[in-house]
Parts: sequence; structure tokens; C-alpha cells
Amino acid sequence: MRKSRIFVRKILLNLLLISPLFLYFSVVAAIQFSSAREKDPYVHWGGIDPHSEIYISWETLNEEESHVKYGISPGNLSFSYDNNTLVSIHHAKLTGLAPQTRYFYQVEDNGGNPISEIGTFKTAPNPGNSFNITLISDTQQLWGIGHYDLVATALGKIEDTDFIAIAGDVVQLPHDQKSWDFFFKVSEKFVNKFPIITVPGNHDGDDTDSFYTTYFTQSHPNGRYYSFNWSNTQFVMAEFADGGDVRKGVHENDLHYEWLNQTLEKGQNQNYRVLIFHRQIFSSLGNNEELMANLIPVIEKYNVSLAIYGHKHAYERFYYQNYTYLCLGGGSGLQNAYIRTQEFSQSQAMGPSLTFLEFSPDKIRLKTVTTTNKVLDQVEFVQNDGFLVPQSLGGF
Amino acid sequence: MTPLFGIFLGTIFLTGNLIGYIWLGKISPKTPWMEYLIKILRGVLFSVYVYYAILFLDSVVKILGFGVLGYENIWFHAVSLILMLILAVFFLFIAVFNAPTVQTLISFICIVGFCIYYFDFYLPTIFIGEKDVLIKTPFIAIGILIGTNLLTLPLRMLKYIKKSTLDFDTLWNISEKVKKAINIKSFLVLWIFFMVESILQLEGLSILYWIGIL
Repeated sequence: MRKSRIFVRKILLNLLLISPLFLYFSVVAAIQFSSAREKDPYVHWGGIDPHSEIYISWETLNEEESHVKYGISPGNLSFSYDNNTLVSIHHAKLTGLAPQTRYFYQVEDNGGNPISEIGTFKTAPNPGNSFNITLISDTQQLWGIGHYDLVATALGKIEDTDFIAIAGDVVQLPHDQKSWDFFFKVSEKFVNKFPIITVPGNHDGDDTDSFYTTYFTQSHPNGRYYSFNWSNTQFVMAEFADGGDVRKGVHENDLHYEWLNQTLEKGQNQNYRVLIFHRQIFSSLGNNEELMANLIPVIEKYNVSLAIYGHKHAYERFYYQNYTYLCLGGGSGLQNAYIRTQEFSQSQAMGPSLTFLEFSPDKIRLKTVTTTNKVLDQVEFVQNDGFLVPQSLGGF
Repeated sequence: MTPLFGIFLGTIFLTGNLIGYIWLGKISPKTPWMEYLIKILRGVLFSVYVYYAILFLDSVVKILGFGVLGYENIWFHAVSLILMLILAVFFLFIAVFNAPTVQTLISFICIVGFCIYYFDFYLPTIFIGEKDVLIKTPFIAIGILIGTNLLTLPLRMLKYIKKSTLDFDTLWNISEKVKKAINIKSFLVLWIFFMVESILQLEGLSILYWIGIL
């Protein structure tokens, strides 16, 4: 009898020891799985020209018609988009927009009743205008759920930014509907204020029927890579998502490299060329030698102003052979396992972070901050002998 | 090692030790097979504890001392690093400084030398690439394997290792003093801190995170 009491006591003590983690993961899973299927409207423009066209997408529980009212004043939504096809994932393509203009929009149900708050977006500015954007990466949440929530809350507090770019790994499980529901649920903190521009990561699925394709890339002419101009800057959104995308000699990859070269060639008349993709070139967790061999020559040949990626879960800025490389993995909760500072690393940080880029005709200003707005890295890139040279403004 | 992984590893170590403490009863070190086992365990414990202690200290020195992650976000990392430092000191006293023999100290110096070389000079950083991951993988796998096995080792067994009748010719023996600081109560307190900090880190927070906001 005494032995069995001791045995039960030991079992209880063991349960007590593992209960905090068990309880924590249970709560995390419950919150993640309780995210609603419906999604607030979000603005994106993969594959189309954001000077005059954008997509407003949202999801409803049931199949419904798609109706959007929009205009240049929140009090006068004088234009409308109407599509009577019954769908649950809605992609309203607004066309004929004026460039460099702030628009407001509201989604309505079949009866003309608003089903969303009034959201806003700006179309692409004409050349010569200064602008700023915000970048994050690896918003996937593997074990915790609060990391991206902190980042999204910080994004929601931003006064003004033209768009938010995510350098891949939007979610951890690409074919899990709940992962996407959770991502959009947390993103509600900012999606009605700022468009989301993405590239696919290795966790976003590489097949055309993945949810990434459903939510972000329904019309890309080249599949899942695209480019657009914003003022005097060309943004090239490439698909180096998983290891296979990097390899040359594979037909799809060769087409991608060909497109990349042609696109960057076309962008030579722009002040800046910003290349965004997912897989790391340099990282304190290890460099990707294949990508170094294949992509660095392209970056140098076409004088890419900034090469931006994620994949490795830390913030790092590198300056290598006159070119700047940014790793923006601060969106993810699961940090890198170890750190080995590279010789050409100029800044590194860990924990939730977001990066602001301010483009003006003569310089680019970068500021990376924590979710509590502490400056982790601050630098100005100024033209010097044909290259953009970083000049630290403090932080690291 | 980054703070998050250090705190994870520490949580696993401490949870494993406490589970072992609960389940394993008194073991007599006087039986021949147990003495043999103790010798093996002593060696395994020594290697693993010293390796992880140096790994933890390496992170503490580089992040707190050299500021490789900057100091702006230090409140996010500080608690993890302090806890890693405390656990590293625990490990070193358990494995080395409690009652070392000459062989213990020589082995300790060799491991420290290896770690300094391995962490800071082996494979210069500019050559880090996929091959580095391949080279590291067996080391990591062995570490995980040994670490996983250690989860079942109770704190109580450590005590018996020191109390064993094996004739270790120790240079000094401060077991009684060490036990006042390193005992089941201190392990339990440390475990609570590690557990709380682990969960907070996963959420992008830390015990002292709020100080950084003030």
C-alpha cells in the first residue's frame, strides 16, 4: 500500500515537472487552432503593376459574391468592384487606379452591408519621390505564437509605410489551413493599413496548389516570382525558396535565372535595385555556397543595391565586395542555434525585429528596431564610386 | 550557442535531473558492478558537463562581454545568459572542482583547449558553408545522444559518485561546501527560472524584458 502511494506520488511529481511545457504547448495549439477561417481584406500586387492595379483579397466562411467599394476619401468610396461569382477566397483586382494616390476601400456582402473596416493603401509613386517600406521575414511560428504577434503589433503601430515585405516562410506548415488562418488573424493588426508583399520560403510549399499560391500568387505570369517599380526603385521578388531552387541546370530554375537577369537588366535605369528572396547567402549560421556561386555574380553584374533575404533566424547585415546583404530572420520565434560572426558582418541581433528602409534619390536609410522600438542597427547607404556604401548611424 | 538554445538545453538538463531524482532510489556504490558503472558515468558526466559548461560560458562571454549581438536588446538576452552562467558554474563544480584528481584537471584543460580551438579557430568563419553543417552534424548528434541519455541520471547519483568507495586520489575535496549551494533545492529553483524563461523566450519575451521597455 505504501509502495503504491509512493509510486503515485512519483507519477504526480513527474507530471508536475512536465506540466508547464505541456500546458504551454496546449494553450499555444488551442489559440492557433481557434483562429477563424474568415480573413480580413489585405492588399497585394504580385505580378501586376501597382501604379494602376492592386488586389484586395479576403476569405469568407461561405461562398459569396465579391463586392468592394473604394475611393480616394474614406467618406466617399465612389468606385466599386463587383463580381457575382460565388467564392470563399476573394481576389478583387482593382484596375485603372491613379499612381501615387492614397485609396480607401471597404468590402461589402451581397446585400451591400460593410463586412470590413475601411482599409487603405497607396499606389506606386512616380519616379523621383522618396518613400519608405518595412521588411520582416520568417513569420512562421513553430512552437510559440507570441513572437509574430509582437512583430505584428509593432507593425500596427507604424504611422506610415508604403508596404510591408515578407522575405519568405510566411507560415511553418504550408498545407495546414490553420497555420494560414493564424497568420492572417495576427496580421489583422496591420493589414488594413499596409499592403503585404511576399516571396515564397521553403516552408511555404513549392507546389502550385499550396495555400501560399492561393493567398498570394494567383496571377503571377512567371509563377511565384515577379517585379515592380516603386518610384525610382526596382523591387525584384525572386524565388529561392528551397535548396532545389538554387541549382542551375534544372529547367524551371534556368528559366528563373534567365528572368532574373532580364528583369535586372530592365531595371538599370532605376536609381536602386532591391532583390528580395528567401534563402540566405550569408549567415552566422552558415553560408549557402551554391547561392553564393550562382547569385553573387548576378548581384554584382547588375549592381543590385540591396540583397535581402531571411531563412536564418537572426538579423544580420553583411557588406561583401561592395554590396550589402541583409538577413531579416527576426520575425521568427525559433532563433538560430549558434552564432559565428562573419568577417564581413557589420551588424547582428536576435529576437523579434523589423527593418525600415527609407529611399530618397541620393541615399537609402536603414533602421532595424526591436518590437519596443530599440534601435538594433542604423545605417545610411550613400553613393560612392558607383557603389552604395554603408555609413553607420549607431545602434549596433 | 544562442540564448534561446542555451535556455532550452538547460531546461532539458534540469528536468531530466529532477525526473531522475524522483525515480531512482538509493543505489549502493559498494557492489562491484556499480563501482564499474560509476567509473563510466563519472567519465561521461565529466565530458558532457564540461563541454556544455564551456559552450554556455562561450555564449555568455561573447554576448555579454564582447557584445556580438549588440547591447540595445540586452534585456531580452540577459536572463538566459545569467541562467546559463549559473548552470555552467554548477556543471563545472559537479564535474571538476568538487574533488578533482590530477587526471581530472588535465582532462579539463584539454577540453577547454579543444573548445577554444573549435569555437574560435577551427573552420575560420569566412569558410563556413554547407560543409560546416556536415562537419558539425556528427558532433551535434553525439552531443544530443549523450545528453538524452543523461536525462535519466539523477542528482542523487551524483552524490553517490562522490561518496563512492572508489579510491580517487583527489587533490582536494570540497563536496560538503559545494553541496550547500548545489543541491536538489537549488536545482529546483533553477529549473523554475529556466522553465519560465524558456516559455517567455518562445513568445519573444524574457523575465527582464519589461525593464527594456521602461
